[in-house]
Amino acid sequence: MPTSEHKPPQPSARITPPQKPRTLRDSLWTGLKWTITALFLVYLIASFQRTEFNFYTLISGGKDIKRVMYDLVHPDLSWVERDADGEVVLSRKTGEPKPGTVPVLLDQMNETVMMSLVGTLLSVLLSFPLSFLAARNLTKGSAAGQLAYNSVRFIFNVLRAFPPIILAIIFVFMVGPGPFPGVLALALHSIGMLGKLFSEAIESVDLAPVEAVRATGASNNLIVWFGILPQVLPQFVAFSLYRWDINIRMSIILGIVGAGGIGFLLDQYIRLFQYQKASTCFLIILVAVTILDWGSSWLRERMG
Amino acid sequence: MSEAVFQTTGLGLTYPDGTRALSDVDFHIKPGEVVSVIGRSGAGKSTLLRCLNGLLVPTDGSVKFRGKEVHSSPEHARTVRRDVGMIFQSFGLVPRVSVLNNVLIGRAGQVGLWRGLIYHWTDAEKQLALRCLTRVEILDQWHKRPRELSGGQQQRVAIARALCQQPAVLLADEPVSALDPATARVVLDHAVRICREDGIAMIANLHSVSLAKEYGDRIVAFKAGRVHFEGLPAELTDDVLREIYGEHYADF
Ligand SMILES: Nc1ncnc2c1ncn2[C@@H]1O[C@H](COP(=O)(O)OP(=O)(O)OP(=O)(O)O)[C@@H](O)[C@H]1O
Ligand SMILES: [Mg+2]
Repeated sequence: MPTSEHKPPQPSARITPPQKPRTLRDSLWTGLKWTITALFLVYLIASFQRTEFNFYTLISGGKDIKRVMYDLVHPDLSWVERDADGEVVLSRKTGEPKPGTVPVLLDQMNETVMMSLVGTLLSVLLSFPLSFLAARNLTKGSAAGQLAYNSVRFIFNVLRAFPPIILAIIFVFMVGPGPFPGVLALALHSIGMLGKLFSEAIESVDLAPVEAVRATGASNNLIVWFGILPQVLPQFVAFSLYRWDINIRMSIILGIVGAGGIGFLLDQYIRLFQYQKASTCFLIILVAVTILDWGSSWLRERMG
Repeated sequence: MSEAVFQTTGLGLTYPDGTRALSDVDFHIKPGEVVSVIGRSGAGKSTLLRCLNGLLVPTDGSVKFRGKEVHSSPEHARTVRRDVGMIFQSFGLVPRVSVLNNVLIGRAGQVGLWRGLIYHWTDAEKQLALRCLTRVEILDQWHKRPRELSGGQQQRVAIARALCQQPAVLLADEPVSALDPATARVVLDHAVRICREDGIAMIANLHSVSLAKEYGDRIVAFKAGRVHFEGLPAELTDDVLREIYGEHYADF
């Protein structure tokens, strides 16, 4: 029973909460926090000096700035190649006109997209089964499970640690330039990324349906298939589409180290000061990425 | 009567963290019998059900299903589970999977891997699942996803899934604790009626003493992991209930 002596606090009464106990550890921790902040600030200032950050250089530019700017806004939109006199250049072999910058670049852009597609698909196919082994909730309890968990986790971490561009450089050395090393680089890096995301999705499933399926006497494989997969599939699809999105941009860059696609030509044009052609590259990349961006976000919305 | 469906002797279970959940439990259930299990939270009711269908391995004593030790091997525990349906407080339906497929998942212990992977069900299995849905009067919802159903409807689907196993026993772990009293009765009516019609034994963990008395042929009450009372509903007196639930039993 509530007693009548119990009065609510007066609205005017100030409330002073009891002092929070402060231990030696708290003081040490505070000291450490300030030291780390100070060190970080020093490092930040050093970073601006080291990177020669300077607004004046940005505005005044190099000496070629006018020509570069002119070329960049005048992309080379030729469909056939012409010589200095404006004559159409014919192919020696076929006698047909040689393709100009636009068809050549469209073809390379297509190769870039295809690279990203193959690389993403391979990574999805490989990380899908592996991610179940890297999910804590499925592997705990047995020594074999622990081993699988730790080793697959380790593999994912290692694969993620290498940026795709580094992997691409290694693979270009190993198998020679072209789209194949690019695909390998994308696939390996994406396995690490997707594997981590997939296994985290598996770790956060609702266990009640899993328990219910186990209670029907299903084998472990079917418990995962019926109890877990329907819960994680939409996330898996969303992650894969998102990864493809990232891989398209990534495969453009991989071309620069010789791993196929439009990036390879972009790099060459810039090295040869062919800025009008480089400008065409930028234009095509911009249009392609925008279209694919729309496409993939439209798809992802429909999946959710 | 014939031999017991489940028979435990000296059953004890200590969880890995040292919690002693069951001690010296001698429990049995005969074919077609409906047993209500009551007891305070933490008394070990859920643990008992999990030991019976082999989801937990007892640390002492034995659990026999139709005369054979459930835990003789993990494979055998799995074959026992095929013949033991189970329903839960939280229903445990698989999200984003249609009601019909949820019921068919009751066959998961019986189908081979490849058939399961492609969700390929035989016509006989589909007919069985539809019949199970009809018996809990929810056939018209067969195409919906679980989250489009009310709690009572979800639990009826869960009953249909358990029936689809064509089990010898139905284990029900607080099947109606998440439902309002009226819906609770509808759900229990369905479960108990079907079990009686088909001669399925049923063990129901219940938090409501009145439901336990009403639906059970026999009542088993747990206290701190031990069987404290066992007998007919009429024998469950207020004195016994006070022993089980403490002095404040009369307040509810
Ligand atoms: N996985 C677990 N690990 C450790 N201890 C557990 C575990 N599950 C249950 N317990 C403990 O075992 C005891 C019995 O639990 P159990 O779930 O069987 O009780 P219950 O009778 O079903 O209770 P409730 O009515 O709340 O469902 C409790 O003390 C509980 O804390
Ligand atoms: Mg319980």
